[in-house]
Amino acid sequence: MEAVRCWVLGVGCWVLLLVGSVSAQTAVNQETMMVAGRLYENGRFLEAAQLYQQVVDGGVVDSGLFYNAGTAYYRAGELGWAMLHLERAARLAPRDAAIAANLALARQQAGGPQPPLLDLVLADGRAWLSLNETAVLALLAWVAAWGCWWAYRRWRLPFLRGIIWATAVVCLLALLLLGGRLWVERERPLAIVVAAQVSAVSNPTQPENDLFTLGGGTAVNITIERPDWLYVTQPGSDREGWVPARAVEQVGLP
Amino acid sequence: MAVFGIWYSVISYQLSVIGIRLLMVGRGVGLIWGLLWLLLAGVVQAQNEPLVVTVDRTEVTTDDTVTLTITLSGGSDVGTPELPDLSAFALVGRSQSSQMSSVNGVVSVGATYTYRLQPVQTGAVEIGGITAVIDGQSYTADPITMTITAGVRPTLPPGVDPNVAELTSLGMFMEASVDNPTPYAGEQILYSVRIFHPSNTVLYVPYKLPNFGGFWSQGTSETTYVEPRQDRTLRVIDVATVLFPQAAGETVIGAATLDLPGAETVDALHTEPVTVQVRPLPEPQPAGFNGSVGQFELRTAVDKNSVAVGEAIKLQVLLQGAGNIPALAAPELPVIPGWRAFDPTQQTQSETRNGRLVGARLYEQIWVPETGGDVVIPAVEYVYFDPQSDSYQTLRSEPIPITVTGEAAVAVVATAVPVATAVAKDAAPEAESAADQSAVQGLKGAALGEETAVVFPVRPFYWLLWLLPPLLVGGWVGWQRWQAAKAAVPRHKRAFANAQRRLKEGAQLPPEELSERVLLGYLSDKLEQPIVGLPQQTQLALLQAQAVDETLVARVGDLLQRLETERFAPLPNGGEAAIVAETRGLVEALEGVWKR
Repeated sequence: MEAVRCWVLGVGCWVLLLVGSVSAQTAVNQETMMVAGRLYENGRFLEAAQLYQQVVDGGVVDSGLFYNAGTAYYRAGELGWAMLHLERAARLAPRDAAIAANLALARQQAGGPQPPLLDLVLADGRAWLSLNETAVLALLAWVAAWGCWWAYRRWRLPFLRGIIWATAVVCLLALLLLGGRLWVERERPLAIVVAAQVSAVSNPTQPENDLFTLGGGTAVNITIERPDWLYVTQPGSDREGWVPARAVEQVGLP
Repeated sequence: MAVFGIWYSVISYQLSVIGIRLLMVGRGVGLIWGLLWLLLAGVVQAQNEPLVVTVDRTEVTTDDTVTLTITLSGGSDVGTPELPDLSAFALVGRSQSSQMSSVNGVVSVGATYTYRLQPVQTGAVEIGGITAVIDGQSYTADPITMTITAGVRPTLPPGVDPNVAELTSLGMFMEASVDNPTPYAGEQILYSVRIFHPSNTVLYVPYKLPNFGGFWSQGTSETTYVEPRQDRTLRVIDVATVLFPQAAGETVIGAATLDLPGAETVDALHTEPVTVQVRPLPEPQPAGFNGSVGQFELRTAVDKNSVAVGEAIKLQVLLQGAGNIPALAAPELPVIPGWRAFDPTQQTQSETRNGRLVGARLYEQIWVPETGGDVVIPAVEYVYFDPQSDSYQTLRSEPIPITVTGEAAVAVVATAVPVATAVAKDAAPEAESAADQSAVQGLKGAALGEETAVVFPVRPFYWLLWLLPPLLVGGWVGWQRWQAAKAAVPRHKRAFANAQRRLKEGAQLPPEELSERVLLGYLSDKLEQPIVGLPQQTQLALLQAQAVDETLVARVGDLLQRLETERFAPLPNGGEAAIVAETRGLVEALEGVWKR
């Protein structure tokens, strides 16, 4: 009995410590964001963006944080970092009008060719549902399809057959969308050029032989990763080449 | 094929119309179908031309490469395309891919040939009509005219292939050297590879630099110039790399070579290894020294000398000079009690100038004073080793006085409400892009912790959840079937098992009641009719009608009689166990002989 009491006490203290440290970190992050907000309010956009960046670097994933960081970077003229954070924000909160508006502004400024049709379709999918929402939708449709099938076997209600087919189709479509997005993210993850501009080269051992130049904010797909170099392709064009890894940041969130 | 072409056009048009209509009227699934129809229409349209020739650009310099793509499709027998005269280009790469599809049993083959071409002459150049044979019919694409201008990089003259024999006959050779063969550890040196060739030949060849193991390499640059050597004037391609030795001792830089097959075996086409004797830094090293070597300057500044409590102030520390700027150790930034300090940021800029790596590192830190009063930001110190003076140097900035106005440490939280609109209050914001800033949506009052970094579909638990519905429904179906199968077994065949179960389950019942329940239950199951409540004579008569052994019938009658009698009289000591055992024995005996 005594041992059980000790165990309960120990686990309780551990949980309290864990919760306490997490909430303390959250409070620090909130305060950092408030200071960043004031800097932004006073027109000190780059400093505000740097504070938001600190919170991001601390591992916080939040659409509002990414949006604020992206907006601050945008107003500071750092188009690459702005695009990166706004893309991340849009992936977490695809139906947020403010995020979509600022991302459209940044994209317009970054320019670039029209992406291929598959990318456009997937981008439209992202504009409706986040990846997790798509995953949950597919799972719910799956559960509903099985549930309806069970109910149909149990009570033989004719209208359930239509619902089974409808849920199965929804499930299939959601799975296709999910699979497509996971595949794209795995095979050619989206990244943004965060440097003001970067020259792509045909051979990393001869970096002076540049093929073309990509401006800050350009969206690229990573096809090969090396420790210091990335082989990228620009969607909608046949431009491809090696760029220094530090000049490009992966959006990361599918 | 012409008939096919017309069919493709008609089908493509019809698919486009369907797709656009679905897009116009569709919502949800209709929209998706619309997109799919348009996609299909695009695919069909792309199949229209059996031979398609494209280049990625028509205006290029001799520094660029052009991608020529030839796409053949729509036939069951596709031949290799015939290329026209491409002497205005050097072929630097090629690839080929093929596709095969089968629709309603009709196999269609396609192929894509990609050529990467580097222009070697300037002016207007025409890529003549490319010819290909598809299903026995010859097709010719339209010529493509390109405009080529001179680039800045030397190029191979037409007709000269970069092979080892050709380059050796031209009198080409290479050298390698370092500007300082005895540097200190961490001191920058310049490693140069020079490729010499006759100046009357415009030439560019690929080269391969050695592995710079033991060095931190930075800033390779290439310059071309003309140098007189004995009786000749030679053109030199000078490839210079800034190196920083990482540790004291002897280090050998391997040979640089031309990046051509066989170049390693020709003495003139690779360099000799270069040996560098790296000296250790002098001892003793002063306190605060953390490995920086070079020549540096230090400056500090704040954006304001008077600040209110809760307002942000920024300290900038600029370290600039010549040395390993990207790997420079950070200076120790001051700490002010009562001031909240945020993590510093750093920006690095470096470039190779006159064979030396120079640049600057800017550290910025934001502070928020939480108490009022006059404060002095202490001096920042930085210790480094200067190889030119062979001594350690200490840089020290000036202390900066700051006046903090106001009181109350709660000011930060009390005044720092989330910003609702993006209105710049200061007269001169630090950086505004050229875009229309008024269109920018304002910040959000973000409450952290809304989202999660967990991506469900890449976690096993998510896919385990997919197994749950089929497992549950499958389990239910299995249970139903098991119940049905159980119900199909005749009752008399389950009589003995039921009796055993009743004996086990009724251990708490009075022995005579348990025995009666087991015996009558067994007999009811065996006879497949209820016999509880029937007169004893009738019960025994039913047994006799089943041709049960008379002795056993008599034992049943005797036991039932005793149970009836002893229900109202106490059993003798040990009688409880005996009567239950007798009942069990009787049931087993009946089961043994009652073959129904």
